[in-house]
Amino acid sequence: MKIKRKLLLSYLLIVALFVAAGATITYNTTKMADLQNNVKKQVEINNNAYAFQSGLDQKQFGTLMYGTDNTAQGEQIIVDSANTMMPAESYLQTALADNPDLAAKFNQVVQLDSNQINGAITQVYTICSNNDNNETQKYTDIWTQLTTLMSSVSQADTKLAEVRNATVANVDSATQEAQNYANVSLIEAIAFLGAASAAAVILSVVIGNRITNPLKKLADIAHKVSLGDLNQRYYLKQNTDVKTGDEIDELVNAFRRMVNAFRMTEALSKDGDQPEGTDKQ
Amino acid sequence: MTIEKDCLAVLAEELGPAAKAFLYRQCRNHLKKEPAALEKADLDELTKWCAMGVQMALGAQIAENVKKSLMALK
Repeated sequence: MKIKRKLLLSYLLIVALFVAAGATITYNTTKMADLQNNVKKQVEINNNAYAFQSGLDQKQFGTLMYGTDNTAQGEQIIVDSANTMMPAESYLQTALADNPDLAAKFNQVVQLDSNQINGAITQVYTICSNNDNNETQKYTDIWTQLTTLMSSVSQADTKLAEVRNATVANVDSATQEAQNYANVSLIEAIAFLGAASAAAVILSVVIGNRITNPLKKLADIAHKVSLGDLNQRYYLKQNTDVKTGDEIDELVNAFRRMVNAFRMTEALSKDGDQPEGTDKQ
Repeated sequence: MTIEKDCLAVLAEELGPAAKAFLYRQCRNHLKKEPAALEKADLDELTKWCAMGVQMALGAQIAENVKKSLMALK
């Protein structure tokens, strides 16, 4: 293998390690971003569930005021509560679409609001606007409806509390998962950095030795040949028999051929035109 | 390519620039002809003399390489 290719492959190996590290960390970062979005969504769900719960409490209070002769104030509070609850309900219907359990719980709350709570409020309106009943009967009827309303609001509060608790649990879970991804990213970054550093050091030493060791030997032999020791060809053969298949190999072969040429030229010139031995045949 | 050039190419693999002088010397002294006049029929004799000369000067291993390469020209 050519030296350049060996160096390039080593470089690519180290680059591949860094790319793998980058890909892993990017994957973890993407997961953490997803978790962050999930946390944001859970917080939004929690806030809207709280707003809806506050709206129900407000509605209950407004109905109580309406039923106790503070009709204008009570009506205003009930209208305000509807304004608070409507956007929260709209958001929760959409946001909980991918969570059937929580969606079912919220739908129960909406059903309670639509049927029992609004039904009780309508009854209170009717009782208050009907002047035929005597006062005692009127307040008895109003109290009956308020009891129904408070019971329903209490049930709705319980359901909404379950939704909110679920979001808190989801946030805890997502936070823990994000922490795990962060820890794994840190460990992976350290591992890849260590592996890349180790690979760089090992490859530098191995490839460096494979390049410089034959060159050192060749330089030593060249020095001896330059001083007239043509028998270095034997040494050269014994020490460079391992084929590396690269430019060092080609250099050794060329050098060996050159030493052979010196040796043969010397033999040819030793006794005029006769290389040693051949004239005796 | 002529036989001479083929032989030179084979010998140059081991002897480098000394191949030409060596081939000329072996042809003239032992085959009694010029390298340009070499024929395939001369290859056996030439191989024998070249291998012998290389063995004396450079050793048996290189001589064996030269012998195999020259014989391959047949």
